[in-house]
Amino acid sequence: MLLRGQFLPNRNSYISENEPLILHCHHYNTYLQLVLEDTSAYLDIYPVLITSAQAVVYEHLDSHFHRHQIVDIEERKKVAEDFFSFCGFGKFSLANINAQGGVVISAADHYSIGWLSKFGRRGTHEAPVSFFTQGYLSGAAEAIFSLPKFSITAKQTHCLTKGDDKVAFLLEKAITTIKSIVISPKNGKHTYHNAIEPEGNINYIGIRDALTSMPIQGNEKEGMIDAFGVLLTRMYANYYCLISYRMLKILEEQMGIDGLTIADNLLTEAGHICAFNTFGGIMESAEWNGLIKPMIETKEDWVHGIVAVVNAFGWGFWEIIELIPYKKLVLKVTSGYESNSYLQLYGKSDYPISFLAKGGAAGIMNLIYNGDISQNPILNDEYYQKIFKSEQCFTAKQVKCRTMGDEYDLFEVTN
Amino acid sequence: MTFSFIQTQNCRKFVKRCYTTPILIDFSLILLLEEEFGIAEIYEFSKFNAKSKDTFKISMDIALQISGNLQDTAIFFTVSKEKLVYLEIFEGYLNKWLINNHKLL
Repeated sequence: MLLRGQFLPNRNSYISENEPLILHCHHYNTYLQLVLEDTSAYLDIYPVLITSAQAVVYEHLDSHFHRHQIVDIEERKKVAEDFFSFCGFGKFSLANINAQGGVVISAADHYSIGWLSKFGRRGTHEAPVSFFTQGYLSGAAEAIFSLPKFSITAKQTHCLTKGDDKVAFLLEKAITTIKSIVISPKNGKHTYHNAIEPEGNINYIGIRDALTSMPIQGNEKEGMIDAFGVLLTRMYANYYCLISYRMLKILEEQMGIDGLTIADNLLTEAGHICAFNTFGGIMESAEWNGLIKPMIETKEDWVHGIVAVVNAFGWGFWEIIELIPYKKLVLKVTSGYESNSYLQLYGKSDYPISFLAKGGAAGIMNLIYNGDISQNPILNDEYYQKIFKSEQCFTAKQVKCRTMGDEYDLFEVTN
Repeated sequence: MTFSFIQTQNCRKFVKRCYTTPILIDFSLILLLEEEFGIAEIYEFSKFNAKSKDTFKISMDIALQISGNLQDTAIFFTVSKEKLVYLEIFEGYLNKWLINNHKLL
């Protein structure tokens, strides 16, 4: 029984064995990793990147194996290989691993290819780039062979970003135990709602249904998803949340309010990058031209159109509360994956924590009103600086947050 | 008459062009492109909204992608910089399609 999930309309989430999976592109995946790696001079961040994936994957696969009584090792390997490719992470073979470890060679790897595409080669002093894959492989091996969590390590020995012609990993028994216990928040503190269906030109439900019916999965040869002009992954929402919030907690512990501010700025900027590249890429894609553009009559319809698309991505319910052209957007997010996860992991907070949504909200206004995405601009660094860093740029503030006791997350975007 | 294009580029490894055709894209173009580039995936968006247009996509792994909409005039061509030879091949097929349909111009 292969591992898949399904889109639940009453949660606007794609759920697989109680794990939410969300669509994000290589721009966000690599940039989020970059901002975390930038803390490596003062934080021990690399284990966070690996063990976050390891924990989520181990629990996910283990749950599937037990629920469907999959005991045969070869069948378990096949499930792990297939799911990795289905999600667009790449392709590898587990033929050469056993309970003691082994070598895994990857035919293609999202992080290696995505990083090479976006940033080019990594320096000689830098580690290979596929930390998520290291976590995936170690968690998968533990689940496959019914080993304890964190008992296997995976080290990347070859990487395209280091000039190698392949991606490869060495799996071994862990010598030391992990100090902290990392547990996936799974479904998190999610809530149920009716679909967003505002009046106007944009058919939100039609867009959601069209996009969730598309076969967005890795191609047969490379396990990569090339859609909307970007390389997509169906990524574990809890991976993003664990790496982001674990970093935030470490920074807060070490640096107090200054650490919180650093984390906020880094993670919100990652949201800006996501919006610029993912939303921008979508709004310049054939899929947008076919599905959404024919509905558009006004500039404001572009805002509604991209918000309607987000509702198909598994990020929760995104709803425009107020839109003043060129001036203001008030965006409501209900059962957002960030607050779902944080509430389950840490409970309440004294500060808002929906950084991706905050950056995304600002990004929408910058793309449509500060720039003009309808003119098909080149989405390069120069254009990003122009529309996201100018004096007229829009910035977002999270004015309500579920982790602070509110019923939903709310963002005000102004310039 | 012929097609025009603008070139956009959003990462260091790929070139992306948006071509504009003088006539509406139909299945005859898709069939022609399939001869060289592989089978097209068709997304029947019109089933979800009457105003929407069906979208097609042809991919050669992640090295090349052609996408566009039926009854539209825009077609996107994204290709790895290591496979730029396919640009000329693609434009050859576009020209061939236009010649085959010259009575519509």
